[in-house]
Amino acid sequence: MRRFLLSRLLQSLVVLVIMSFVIYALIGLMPGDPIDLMISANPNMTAADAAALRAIYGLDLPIYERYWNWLTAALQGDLGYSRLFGQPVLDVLLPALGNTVILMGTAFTLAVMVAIPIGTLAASKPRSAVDYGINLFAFAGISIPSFWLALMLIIIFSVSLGWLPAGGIASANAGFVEYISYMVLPVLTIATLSIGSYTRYTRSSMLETLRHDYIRTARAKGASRRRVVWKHALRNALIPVVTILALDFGFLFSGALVTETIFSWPGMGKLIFDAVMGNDFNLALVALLFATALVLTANLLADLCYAWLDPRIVIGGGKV
Amino acid sequence: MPDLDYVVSTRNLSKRFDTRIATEKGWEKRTVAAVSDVSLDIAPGETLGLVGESGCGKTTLGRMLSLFYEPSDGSITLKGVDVGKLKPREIKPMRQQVQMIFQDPMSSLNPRHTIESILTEPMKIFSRDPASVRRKKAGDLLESVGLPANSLSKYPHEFSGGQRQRITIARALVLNPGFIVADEPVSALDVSVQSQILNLLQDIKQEFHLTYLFISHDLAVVHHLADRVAVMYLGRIVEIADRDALFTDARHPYTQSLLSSVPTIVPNKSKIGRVLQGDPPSPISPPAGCPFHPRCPHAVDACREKVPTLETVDAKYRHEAACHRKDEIKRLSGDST
Amino acid sequence: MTSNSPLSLAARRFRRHKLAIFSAGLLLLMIVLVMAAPLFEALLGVGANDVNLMSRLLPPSLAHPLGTDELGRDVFLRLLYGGRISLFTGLTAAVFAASIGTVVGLFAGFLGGRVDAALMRLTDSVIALPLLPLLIVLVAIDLNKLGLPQSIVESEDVSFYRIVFIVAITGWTTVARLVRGATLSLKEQEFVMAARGVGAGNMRIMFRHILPNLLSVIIVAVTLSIGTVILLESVLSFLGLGIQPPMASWGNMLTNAQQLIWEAPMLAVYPGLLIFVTVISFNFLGDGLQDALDPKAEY
Ligand SMILES: Nc1ncnc2c1ncn2[C@@H]1O[C@H](COP(=O)(O)OP(=O)(O)OP(=O)(O)O)[C@@H](O)[C@H]1O
Ligand SMILES: [Mg+2]
Repeated sequence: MRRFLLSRLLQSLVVLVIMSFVIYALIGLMPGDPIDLMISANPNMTAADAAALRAIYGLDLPIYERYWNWLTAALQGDLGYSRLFGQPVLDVLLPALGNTVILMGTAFTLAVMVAIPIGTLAASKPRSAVDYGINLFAFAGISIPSFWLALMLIIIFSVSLGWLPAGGIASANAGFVEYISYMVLPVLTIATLSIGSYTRYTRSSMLETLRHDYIRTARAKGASRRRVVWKHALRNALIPVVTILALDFGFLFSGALVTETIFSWPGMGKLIFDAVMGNDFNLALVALLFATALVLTANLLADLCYAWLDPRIVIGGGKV
Repeated sequence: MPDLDYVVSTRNLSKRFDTRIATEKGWEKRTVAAVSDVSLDIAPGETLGLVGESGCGKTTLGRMLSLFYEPSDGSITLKGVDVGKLKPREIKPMRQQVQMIFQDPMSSLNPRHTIESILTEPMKIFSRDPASVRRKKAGDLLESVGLPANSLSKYPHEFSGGQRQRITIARALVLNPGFIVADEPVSALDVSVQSQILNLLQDIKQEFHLTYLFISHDLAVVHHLADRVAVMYLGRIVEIADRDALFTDARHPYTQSLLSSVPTIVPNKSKIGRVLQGDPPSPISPPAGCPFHPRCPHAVDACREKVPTLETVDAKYRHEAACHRKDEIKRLSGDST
Repeated sequence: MTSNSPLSLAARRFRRHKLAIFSAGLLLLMIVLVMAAPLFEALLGVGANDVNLMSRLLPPSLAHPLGTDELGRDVFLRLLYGGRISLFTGLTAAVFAASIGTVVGLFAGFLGGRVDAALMRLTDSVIALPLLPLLIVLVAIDLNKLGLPQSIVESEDVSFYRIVFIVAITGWTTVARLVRGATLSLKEQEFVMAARGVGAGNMRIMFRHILPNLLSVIIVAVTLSIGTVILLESVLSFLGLGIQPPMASWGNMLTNAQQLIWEAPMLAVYPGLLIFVTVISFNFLGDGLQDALDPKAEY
């Protein structure tokens, strides 16, 4: 068990390091570099000046050397300065990270709390009208474009009904209810995107589980189908669902990026978008890495959850 | 090529598979000894029948001889070439020497390929013949196996089981191999077409000068087709002899009980041996000593301790048996009738 | 045993899926309509990109069946042309993605061992990563710095090529997994051994023997991934990173609509609704095909 988690942790670290290099290299390919920006700010600079400056900043070194320099600095806590915000990167990032975790966490919880019961319900009455309806709903959830859903929610709840704000976040001294009112639409958007697929996973996993022998045995002993589904099968049916959910956090984050951008929710997604659009290299780099780390951490948590649900897991082997 | 005594010879041939089996403690690694210590020779033009219960290793042995499995131990000499330890690249030319006819003509024909592409593929790989020549040869082969030449453009699902097996036979002939391993070629077919396919195998044997290893669990079929018969039990050859010698003078109690389950083949012989009880032991944990002793009515202490090797019973019929009591067995089983 | 071909059996099973048939019809209609876009242009007597500041944000009328946008362009025509781009991008990218996924899945499934482990680790990583943020960086990179020929960098269609490339390098994972699974079971079939027996090598077996048998799996995977691909294209275009105006795509038509959401909410409704309907139709169709082509299904 401990070895399982350790190896998972190690794997995540490796992915993170690889991604840091990939992202570093990609960011280097974005148009302009800090010196170009200086040149455009100061038209008197000559090409020789620019070259000298590049040497000072180490920008003429080969990519892996620059990466190494950046990495050693970063590991010592020096993540650089955000050009866009004029603040140390970390000062910009941490509040955004908090906002995103709140948004994604709430949306994920909501999605799971809706999807698992309705997925189970659909599986408990396969081919019934209920099943059919839930299936249609799930397909709609998978197929709806996130940004359009957001716009539609704004049109309905902000433009037409005027019940909820169309974007932004409550000011620091606002009350709880006001804070929530800003969250409702973004959370609904993100959750809807995931409910569809989670529902389908739950349904098919439950149908699969119900085919197993021990379930048939329970049925033969006289337990009602409903009781069997909710009491006996659910826990086992959830195990594969958890593994799929674990792979889904990246998708969740992608949804959060769009949603945050539309609703002007000051989270990581919007920050990354703004940083990339505004050529803020330092911020974009670190924010992307944080986002990757966030997703990998969520993955790890899901693995823990998986291990807890299924005490039989043995590393290197499978289950019967 | 020099005139060879044998088309194929094996010495101490073994094949082990590493598998995982489910136990209460989860998955455990085990080794299956599918074939153990097999030494046999097949002469040119001969049909060697290979019989034995399900799981005794017939297919594994056949697949080693047709170059699909690499032996774990021992050697295979095919047409004078030691093929046991060849690298994949060196095996390729040897494939022209041996072909296999599979048990299930459904799954051994690619459903997405036309009969033409199935039959011309071996030529595409091995020869430089132009397409028209390949097509002509494919058509000729189809006629040799009793199918109309206009079947070339059809797909496997348009044929019946027996017709499909004719196609796999044609495919096996494309490269002109001298040696063919037929692994239960009729057991997946309707009884009504089985004999047609068996007759076809007989006919092409003459026409193409073939040598067969004919795998079957049906003794009647083997009696009909084989010149020599080898009996396999738990991965080992326990008895081998010319057909008539084996059917009339079986010396291994296992062979005897196999024969007794089909008394109609040799009607004028008294019923020897007993019909077998129970299942064979698992090749994952074979019994010590003679592999047959737990089911043998004549087992003595020696049988529980020492594995018997094949020893000559009668050189005239190249008759060998692996039984500690092969010389007294006639008397022992004769008494029991 | 029946004398029916696998295809006719599949067709029979497919016909049971009412929703999938309906979706197929709808998609066909959509394709016909967008192909006929120039016809409607001639009929209405205006071009899809004709700006007319005198007639901004008009309500639907005979001259403008769905009204006009903030630059006075005909919304209906722009939807048709946007549909051309979105559908074409979606199909092209899905085909590219499916090709990558097929090769990855085929190699992983057939070769097994270390190759399989490495490729599947890669697939899992790509699935687990937060893709959209990474794609945004990818979209933002300067093509000049990649040393691409100037003719490509400055071509009008560069946003199209870019989006197809980006969607393809991320959208292959589903296909890879499906193809790997199917390959694992196909390679145990005796015809693979038979092919080896007549001298075929790994490449020949993979591409000439196994690949044709993967056709139905690939069709299903492509159909299912077109939906994902169209969604991805539209979201990138919406963020201003995909298809660039004045070329219309359903995604970038929504970019402006967001600003006008208080004055002209309907502008935001149409393009998204079309994306939604298209994607859900492809998903229904894929689901139906999956059932129909499933080799394990009873007849
Ligand atoms: N690829 C493999 N991996 C692991 N074990 C195998 C493999 N192939 C065969 N075996 C095992 O080796 C033994 C011999 O199998 P084989 O198929 O050769 O028997 P057989 O005599 O052909 O049986 P049948 O009459 O059923 O075809 C069996 O116990 C089988 O389970
Ligand atoms: Mg067999």
